[in-house]
Amino acid sequence: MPVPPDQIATMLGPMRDQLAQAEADGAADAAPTDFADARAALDQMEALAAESADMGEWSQVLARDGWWQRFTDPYTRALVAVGEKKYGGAGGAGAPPDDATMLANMVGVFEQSITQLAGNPDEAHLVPVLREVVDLGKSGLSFPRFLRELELRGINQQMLGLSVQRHHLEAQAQQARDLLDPAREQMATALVAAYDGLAGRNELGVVDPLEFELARLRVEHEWAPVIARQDYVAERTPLVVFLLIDWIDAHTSWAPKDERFLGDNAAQTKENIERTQQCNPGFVRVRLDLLSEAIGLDFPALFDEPIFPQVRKNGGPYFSDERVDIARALEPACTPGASPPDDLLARAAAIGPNS
Amino acid sequence: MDERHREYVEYYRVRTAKYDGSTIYQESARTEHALLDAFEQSATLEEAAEKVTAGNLATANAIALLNDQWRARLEVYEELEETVKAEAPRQVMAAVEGVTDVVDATSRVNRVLAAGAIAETADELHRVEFVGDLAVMEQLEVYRRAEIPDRWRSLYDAEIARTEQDGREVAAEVAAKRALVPDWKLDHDELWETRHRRRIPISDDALRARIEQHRALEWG
Repeated sequence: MPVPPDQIATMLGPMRDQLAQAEADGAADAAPTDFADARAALDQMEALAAESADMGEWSQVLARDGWWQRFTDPYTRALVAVGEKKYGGAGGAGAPPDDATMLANMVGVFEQSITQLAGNPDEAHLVPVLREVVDLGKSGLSFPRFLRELELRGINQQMLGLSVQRHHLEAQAQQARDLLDPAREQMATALVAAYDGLAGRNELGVVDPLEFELARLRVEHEWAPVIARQDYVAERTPLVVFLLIDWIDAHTSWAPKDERFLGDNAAQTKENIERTQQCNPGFVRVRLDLLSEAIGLDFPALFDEPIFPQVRKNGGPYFSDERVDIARALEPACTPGASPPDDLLARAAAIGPNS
Repeated sequence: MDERHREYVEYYRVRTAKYDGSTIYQESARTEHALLDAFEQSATLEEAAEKVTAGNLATANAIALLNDQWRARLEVYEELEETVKAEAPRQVMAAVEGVTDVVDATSRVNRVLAAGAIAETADELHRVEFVGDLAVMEQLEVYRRAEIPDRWRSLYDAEIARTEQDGREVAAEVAAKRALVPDWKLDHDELWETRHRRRIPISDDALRARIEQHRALEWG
């Protein structure tokens, strides 16, 4: 099924708008070849959508064959040509043709940004800095004095630093805390600490985005193995507990009424129960062997893992306090050919079916 | 030197001071100084502007910043043994060497980064595809190795065969949709490279066993 028109519009619409604006600004006259190339690239991207099986394939083809750049390159050249035509050639750094115009343009851009940020979740953090720029620009300073003040007051640094928001990092840590995800919580906390460390070294308390990016690379690198191990444990722990609980429950008198064992008829239900009774011990032993071989953990150790509270929270009825106690006590007895100890069976029977 | 000229000199002085002493922005510090020199050592603003244009100092400054940023990333990637990710920074710096136009430099950088992103995706796939199959491979091992009554053996042997076949079919479907890297093939040897190995949490013995199993399954 080709890519739906609304998805094509979502993907290419903004670029069509950009191109239309460039045309309105005179790009087709200033750089006819580049403008035509940009338009042709967009048309070809749209044609590729019709040839693609779905959105996923189309996105991959666009990325693989560099179609974004085939648009961006000529489009940028066309914009530059518009600018050069308008200003009669670039004046070079520090010698713009008209300081007052440059200043007014710059202030206008920031005023527009403030308007666009209305309702944005980060409005309260971003707008005060931008407002300071606008106020400074309208204070009567000359353009070079305005630029100098932006540097002296650290506003340029602050604007760069806005790309890294401390409260976003704290929110990540809180989210991981809420999800009982200790490895990701510690990683997010380390990122907050890295942020604070960089801010503390700067006299204005501003974080250089590049320095933070480098710190993030190191922190994420450090925590990647811890997270991988934690995820591995989190995924495997329930599998063993499920096998153990199903095994003991298959020996209760109410097992034939439990949805876990119900078949299409009584004979099938009986077979399901017998299969669970007879096979689960063998499965448990191999599961525990695999865990031991893979990460050197035995069954009791799983309950001491930092991720266990999350496993328990997400584990549903299998991870009630009583069932966890039963599973822990049951594991040594769950061996091929064995039956569950009577005392544990009585406790499991008292819990009743899952449904 | 008139008032406007002096104001520009003061502005470039402040900009230059920002980079002085930085360990990251060393090349930028040099090009910022070159800009400041052009303004300080000219009699008029027009002369300064001519020097900036003649020396292409603004472009040199922009490219210096690019180089500083990508050199810093390269150093961290090398330190972390991220050999594939280190390629893009190297290529960015090579691509902008000698470039005299910012638009051209941006285009070259974007091209390198787009190719780099594809190379990184292809590299990540080795681990992602393998690790994604780990849980199913372990389930197959459970069925295969478990001590169970003969009565049930054929049932689980059939389950093993079905899962293996399903895995091959899914792998073929996934491969057919992999338009970004259409010729990609899983290379199990890559899993032992530090950048991948440290993100696979199982022991060397277990990894060897699972790789052998994965190769035999032909899911990659």
